[in-house]
Amino acid sequence: MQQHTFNRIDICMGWLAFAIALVVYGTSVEPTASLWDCPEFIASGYRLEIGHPPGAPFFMLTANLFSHLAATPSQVALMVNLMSALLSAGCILFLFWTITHFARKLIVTDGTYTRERILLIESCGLVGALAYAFSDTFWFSATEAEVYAYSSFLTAVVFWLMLKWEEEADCARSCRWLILIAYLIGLSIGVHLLNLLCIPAMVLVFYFRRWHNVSRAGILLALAISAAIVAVVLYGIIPGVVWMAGLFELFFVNVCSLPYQSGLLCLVLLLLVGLPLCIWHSRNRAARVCLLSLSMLLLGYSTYGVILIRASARPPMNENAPDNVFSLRSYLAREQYGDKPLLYGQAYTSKLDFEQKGNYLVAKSDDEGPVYRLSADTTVCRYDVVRHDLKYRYADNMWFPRMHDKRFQNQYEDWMGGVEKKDGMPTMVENIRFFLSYQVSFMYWRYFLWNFVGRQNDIQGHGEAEHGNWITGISFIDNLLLGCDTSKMPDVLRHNPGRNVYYALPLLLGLMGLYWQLGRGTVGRNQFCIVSVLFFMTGLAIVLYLNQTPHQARERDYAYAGSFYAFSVWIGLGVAAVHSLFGRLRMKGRLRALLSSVLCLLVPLQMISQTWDDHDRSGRYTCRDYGQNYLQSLPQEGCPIILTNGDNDTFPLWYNHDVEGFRTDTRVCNLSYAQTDWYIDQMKQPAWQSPALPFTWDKRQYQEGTRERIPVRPELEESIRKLYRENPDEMKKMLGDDPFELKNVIRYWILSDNPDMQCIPTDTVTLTSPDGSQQMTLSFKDKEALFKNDLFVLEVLSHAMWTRPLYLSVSVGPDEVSWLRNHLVLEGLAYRIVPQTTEGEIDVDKTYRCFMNLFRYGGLSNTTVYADEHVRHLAYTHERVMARLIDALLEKGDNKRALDVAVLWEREFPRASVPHNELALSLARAFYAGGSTERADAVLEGLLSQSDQWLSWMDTFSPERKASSSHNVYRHLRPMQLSLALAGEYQRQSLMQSYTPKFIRYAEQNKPL
Amino acid sequence: MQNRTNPSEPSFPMSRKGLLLLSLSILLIIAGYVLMGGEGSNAHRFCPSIFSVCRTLVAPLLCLSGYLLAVVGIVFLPSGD
Repeated sequence: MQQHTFNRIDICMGWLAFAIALVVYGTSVEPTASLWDCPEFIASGYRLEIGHPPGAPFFMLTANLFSHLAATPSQVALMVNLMSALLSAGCILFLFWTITHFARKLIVTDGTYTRERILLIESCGLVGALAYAFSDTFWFSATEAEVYAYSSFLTAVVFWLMLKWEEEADCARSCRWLILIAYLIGLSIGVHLLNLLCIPAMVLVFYFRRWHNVSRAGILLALAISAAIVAVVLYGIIPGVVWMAGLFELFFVNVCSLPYQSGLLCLVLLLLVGLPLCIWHSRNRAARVCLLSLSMLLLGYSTYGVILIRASARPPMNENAPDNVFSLRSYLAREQYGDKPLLYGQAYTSKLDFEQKGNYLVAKSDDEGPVYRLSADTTVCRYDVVRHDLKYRYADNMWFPRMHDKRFQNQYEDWMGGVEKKDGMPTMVENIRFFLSYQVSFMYWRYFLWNFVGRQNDIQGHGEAEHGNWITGISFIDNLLLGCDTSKMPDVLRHNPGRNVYYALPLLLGLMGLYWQLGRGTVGRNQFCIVSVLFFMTGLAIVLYLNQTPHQARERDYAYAGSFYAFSVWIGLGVAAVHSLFGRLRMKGRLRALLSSVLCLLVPLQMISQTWDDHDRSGRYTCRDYGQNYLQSLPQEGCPIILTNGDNDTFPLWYNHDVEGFRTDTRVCNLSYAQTDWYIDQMKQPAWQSPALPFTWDKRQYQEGTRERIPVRPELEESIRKLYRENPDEMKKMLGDDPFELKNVIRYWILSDNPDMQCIPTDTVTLTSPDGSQQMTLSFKDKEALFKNDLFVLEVLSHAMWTRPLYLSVSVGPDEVSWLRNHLVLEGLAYRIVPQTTEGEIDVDKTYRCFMNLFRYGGLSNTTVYADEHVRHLAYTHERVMARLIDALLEKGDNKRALDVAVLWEREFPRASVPHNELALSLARAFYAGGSTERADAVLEGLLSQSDQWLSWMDTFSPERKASSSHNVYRHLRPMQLSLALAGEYQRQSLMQSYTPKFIRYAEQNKPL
Repeated sequence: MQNRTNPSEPSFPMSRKGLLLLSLSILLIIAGYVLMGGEGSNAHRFCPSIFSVCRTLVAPLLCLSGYLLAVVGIVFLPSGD
C-alpha cells in the first residue's frame, strides 16, 4: 500500500474522531450561559464589551461571529458555547493526527504500509484522541463559553503544524509553517497565554529535525533557547510594545500637545512601514525568517486593538477601562491579581523592612516606575502620574518561597498541621514539604489522576477524606487511599454524578505507551523528549509559576488540560504497546492488531460511560434564571440599584442585561470593583435604561491613589462637640449645622483637601430625609477605617436613600458594608436598604410573590438535569431564603402559603438533584403545619437517614482522617438532632424510635474532648 | 552539529500571491478597526450606537476575516510553485 493511501485513511479517521467528539459535545452543551466567567465572555463577544484582565480580543472576534448566528438573543449563549464545542472537537482532530504522526514514525520504519500497521496506527490515534475527548477536565471546558477550549485548539494546531513542518522541512518554503506558527502564537495572546508553553516542545522538534548528531548538551541548549524565546515573548514583546507605545504617547501628547492615541498611531504606522522594509532589505535568510515571524506575531497580537477601541466607546461592561496604552499596560499585566515571588522572596511570615525617615518608620520599597493615567482634568489632553509602582522589600527572604502570602497564614498552617519555623521563618524542609504535598501532589497530580484513574465526587476538596479525591474504583485500594471503608459511603456520595472511576486503565495504557515509545530507538527517545517537555511545561511548570495558596475558590484542573493532552499521546501509543505485548504471547497478524485495537478502544468507551452524566449540561438554565431572580427581586419602578460582590452574583446579572436585554432598568454595582476609580467612572454613567448613580465627586477626588482608606476616629467626636458648644455659629459655618450628618461628614471631612482632615470624626453618622421626616443612623463602631467602596456606597446613599430603591444581594458576605446590616429587609434574593433600624426582617408578601410568581428555576425540576456543586450552592441560596419565608409565614399562622412554598421547593429543587440539608427542616415544618404529614415524614426520614449514613461511614475513618473531618461530624449531628426535635414536636413515634438511639450513640462517640 | 538547510530554498518563504493576500488581510483588519471606532457613552448620555450593526457586526467580521485571511496568505503556494 502507498503512503498516499495511508494519508487518505488517516485524514478520514481524523475527521471521524472530530465527528464523534463534536456529536458528544454538541449534545451535552449548556443551552445558556454557565457560571463563573462565562456570562462575561459571552457578553464580551456578542456586544464587544471589555471583560476581565488580560482580556481575550481574538476570542471576542470569533465569539462575535458565532453570536450572530443566533436567531434570538436568548440563543447567543448557546452559539458561543457551540463555538467551544466546535473548537474542542477541532483540538481532538489535531490530537488524532499528532498521535498518528508519532505512531507512524515508530511503526512504519521501513516505508511499507501493511493493513495491520495502518489499523494499528489509526487505533492509536482513535484511542488517544477519544480518551482525551471523554476526559473530565477537557470535556468540562468544551461545553461552555470559556477561553480554555479555544486555547486548547490553538495549542493542538500549533503543535501539529510543527510536525507538519518536520514532515516538509526539506521542501521549498517549508519555513512558512514556522511563520504561521509565530502568527498563531500571536493570535493566541488574544485568547490565553497558555499557548506559549508549547514553544519548548516545538523547539525540540526543530532541533531533532535539523541536527544530525543529537546530544544531551544539544537538547539542553535547545531547551535553554526555547526558554529564552518564551521569556522574550512573555516579558519582552507583549509588555514591550505597549511600553514603547507609552513612550510615544508621552512624547506626542504631553510634550507636543497632540490628541490622545496620536503616539500609538504613529508607532503602528512606523511598524507597518518599518518592518516590511527591514524584511525586504535583510540579506540573511535566517534573519529574514525571524523578522517575518516577529512581524506575524505582532500582527496576531494586534487583536488588542479591539480592546482599546471598544474600551474607548465606554460600554456598560468595561473592566479596568483599558482605553489608553497606560491602562492597557496594567490590564495586560493583570496587576489586580498581585505578584508572587518565584525564585527568591518573602515567606508568609516575613515582615516588611522599615527604615527611619524623619519621625516616621517607612517601609522600604523599590520604585518600579511611575504609573500614568488620563488626566482627571478633562479640559486638557495630558497623561498624569497618579502613583508609583512600588515593590516592597521584606526583612527576611528565602529561596524558592512556596508559602509566601501572609493573608493565608492560617491556611498554610492548617494544611501543614503546624509550621515549626526557625528564626520566625518556615524552614526549607517545611517549604518543600508544602510544595510537594500541596502544590504538586494536591493541586496537580490529584487532577491528573482524576482524569486517568478516577474521581471521588464533584465536591471541592481541601484535603479531607470525603471530597474531591482521586480514587481507583477498586475498593481495597481506595480504602487504603482514603483511610476509610468506602463500601459504607453515604448514598448521596455514591450517587454523585461526579463520581467517575476508570480503574486506572487509561493511566496504565498511557504508561505502557510511554514505555513502548522509549524502547523504539533514537526516534522513540526523541519523541519521548518532545512529549515529556510538553507534558511538563503545560503541567508542573504552571504549578511552579502559579505558586498557589491553599483554599482556592474552585478546583483548578482546567489550567493543566495541556498536560493531560500530552499524556493522551501516550495513551494512544498504548495500543501499540498492547500490540507488542500480544506479540510476545505469539499471537499473529491481523488478529493481533484487531484484538489490541478493540481491547484498547474499550478504555475510552469505559471513560465516557462514567463521565457522561456529569458533563451533560443539556436542559440546564440555572445560571441565566438565577441571575434573573436577583434582578426580579428588585421593584419595577424607580430604576433600582443592587450591590453585589462575587463572580456568580454579578456576571449572570450582566449577562441578563447586556445579552438578553432583561430588566435593563436595574443597575448592578459590584462592591469589590467599587474600590477602583474606573468602576466608579462607569457607575457615574447611564447604562441602558438605568440613569447614572448619584455620585457627585470630581474625578480628582476618587482617582487611583486618593482616598483609598479613610480612618474612623470617634475620639474626635468629643472635642468637636465641645467646639460647637463654645462657638456654635462659627463652627456651623465651618463644618455644617450638624457635624455628624452624613452629607456634612462627606463634604467637610472626607472630601477635605487637607489630608489630616480626611477621616470620619465619629463612629455614628445620621442621614435625614429631604422632608426631615425620617432619619437613618449608621454606625461604624467595629470599623477602624472605611475603604473606597464603603465611601462610594455612603455617597450614593446620601443622595439616593429616599429617591432610588437600593438593594444588597443576599450573596454578599457579612463583612462587606457591615455597617448596613441593621438596615435591611429581605425581599426575594435581595435586601432592601431601609432607613429604619431592623433586625432580620423579611417582607413576606414580596418574597412570597417573588418565589411563586416571578422567579424561574433553571430546569432542575427535571432530575436528569445535572446540578454541579456550584449550581447546588446557588440552589441553597434560594432554599435559605425559602426557609426564612416559610418560618415567617408559619409564625404568622399562614399555613396555607407556607405549604405553597414547600410544594414549590420540592418541585423546583428536588432532593435527587439538590440533596437536603438543615434548611429542609423548614420544609418539613411547612408540610406538618399544612397537614401533609406523609411528605413531612419523608423529608425528615431523608434527613435522618442521610445523617445516619454519613456518621456511620465517618466512624470507619482512620484516626488521622477523622481529625481532619471532625468539623464535618457536627455538620451531620446537628441536622439529626434538629430533625428528632421536630419529630418529637409532631409526635412522629416511628422516626423517633428508629433514630433516637443512633443519635445518642453518635453523640457519645463524637463528644468533644 | 551541522545545519541541514536546503540550498535550493527560494530566498523568500512566502509566495508573491501569498504576500498579496497578506497585504489584503492587513487592509481588512485596518478597515475593521476604523469602522469599530466612533463616539462613545459619557457621564451624561448612554450612547446606544456603540452597539450598532456597523460597530458590533460588520467591523468585527472584517477584522476576523482579515486575521483568518492572513493564515491563507502565509501558507499560500500557487500551483506549480
